[in-house]
Amino acid sequence: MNALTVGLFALYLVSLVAIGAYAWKRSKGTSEDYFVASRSIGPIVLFLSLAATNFSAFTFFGFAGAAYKFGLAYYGIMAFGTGFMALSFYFIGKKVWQLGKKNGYITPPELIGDRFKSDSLRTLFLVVMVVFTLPYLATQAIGGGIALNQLTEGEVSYELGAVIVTVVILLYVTIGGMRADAYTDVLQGVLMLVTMLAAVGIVSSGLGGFTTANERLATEWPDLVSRPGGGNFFTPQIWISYMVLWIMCDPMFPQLFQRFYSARDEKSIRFSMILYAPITAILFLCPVLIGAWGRLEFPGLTGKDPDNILPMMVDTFAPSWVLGIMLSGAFAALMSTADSQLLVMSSMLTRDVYRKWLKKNASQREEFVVGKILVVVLALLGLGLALTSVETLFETLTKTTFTGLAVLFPTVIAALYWKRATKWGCIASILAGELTYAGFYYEVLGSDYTYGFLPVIPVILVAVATLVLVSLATSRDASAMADASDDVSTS
Amino acid sequence: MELLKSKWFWIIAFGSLFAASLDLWAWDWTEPSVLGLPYVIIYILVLEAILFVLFVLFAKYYWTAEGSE
Repeated sequence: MNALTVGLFALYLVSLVAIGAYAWKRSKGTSEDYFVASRSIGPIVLFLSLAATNFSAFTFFGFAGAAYKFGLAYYGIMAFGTGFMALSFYFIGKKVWQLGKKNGYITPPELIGDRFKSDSLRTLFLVVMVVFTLPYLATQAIGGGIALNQLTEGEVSYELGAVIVTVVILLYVTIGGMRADAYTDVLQGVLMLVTMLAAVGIVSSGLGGFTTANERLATEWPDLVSRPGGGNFFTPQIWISYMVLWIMCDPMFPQLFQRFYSARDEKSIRFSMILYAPITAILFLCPVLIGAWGRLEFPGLTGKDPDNILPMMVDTFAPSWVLGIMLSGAFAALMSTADSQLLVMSSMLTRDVYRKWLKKNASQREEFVVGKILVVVLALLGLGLALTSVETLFETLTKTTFTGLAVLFPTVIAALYWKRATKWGCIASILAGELTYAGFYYEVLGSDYTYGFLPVIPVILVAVATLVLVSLATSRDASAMADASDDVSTS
Repeated sequence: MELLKSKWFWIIAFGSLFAASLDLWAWDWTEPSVLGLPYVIIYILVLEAILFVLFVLFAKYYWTAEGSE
């Protein structure tokens, strides 16, 4: 292990903690400041924070691994689907920001519960968000373990790597909250972009040049430059499914949803939407190219090994000290997602459980302290899951988190736009959607029922139909009717 | 510019772009185009560029015109 490599990586980790300390100095010691930075995040920081939070370990290791297995077309379903998703910054983010500012919301379930005057719906929404975010949090620790193991050429075990990543995140999130989270996202977002572009340059140069690498791939692995791609993965149904999945799933990530509350103004959200298309177009291409090129150097990887292809390729073509910088970019992606997940889950358990059910008159100061304790507890829980994981990043995420959270999309849209929606319609929609998803996941429902699409398509159809039918069938409380306008009611 | 303040214009514009992303008519195109990259990569890059332009116009002429709090 090269001392310079370790030194550069250590400098990166120390910088994160130093930013956390800077944010802590500006802390006001209240829950609103700790969880949403007193709604003060401006355009550039918000954009980089949304991007860094959205792009995770999966963006680097998972994309590269999937491109290795399925081919370059993977770029299409990831980049355009995610870029197009930024339209939701308008139809969800704008309203969420307005309502959060007006009514003091900090967590997503607060808005939903308040809109329908329902503690049951608020709790159900909370449970779904926490249950499906925890495995995603675990994948960040998995990615950290893989990257650190690779960086140190096996001297640091995968398990120890996951522990180190978790401890560093804990340090700056615990002391600095959302402000530390957003400020570190700026460093991490820039680092991600620069290192990925450099990695493409170094790896393609090692393969004989950018054009040569692509031409070699087309000649030696023609299935990887076409559809249906490796393993006949890209059927039209799968393509359509992913395009729909990102649009419905990404805004339901609680860590993204909460960022809308933290914006200083609408201009910040508009700015973020505009730049989302170029950032996804550029950044997502890098791991996909490197992953597919990986077949040229390491043709026989199977099982979990394709998830390692990105660090393997950089390790092959870059000097070892460069590898340290490169992998810092991958760490930036996973840490910027994990810290936000920790913070939002802590805020939900603090506001939607502790304050709602255990101590209704808790002060902001008390919430601030409870939130910090919960960050530690949740980090340890995520780490425990990471150390017992047996599936690849790709399988874990697509099978659990994404579809599980997408089920909430119809409820959020109904809460923001459909006056006739009722709490019973939303509760039934979420339960029916999740039960249908469980039916597919545990193979109670045969794959014939998906007609070649991912389960998310029939699951969303069931959720929407249930929401509409049950809402129309259930009577509505008169006061809720009066409140259900563009302006969600105050609590 | 009044057109760019119409809700229906934007529904059609973004709807058409999304439909274009489902390029089933070119499913088996494999010819390398620019820098050896296959058609599918170039096509998605073009769509992302169009998406960026639409977002700029949408933010400037529609979102802002709606008024902010």
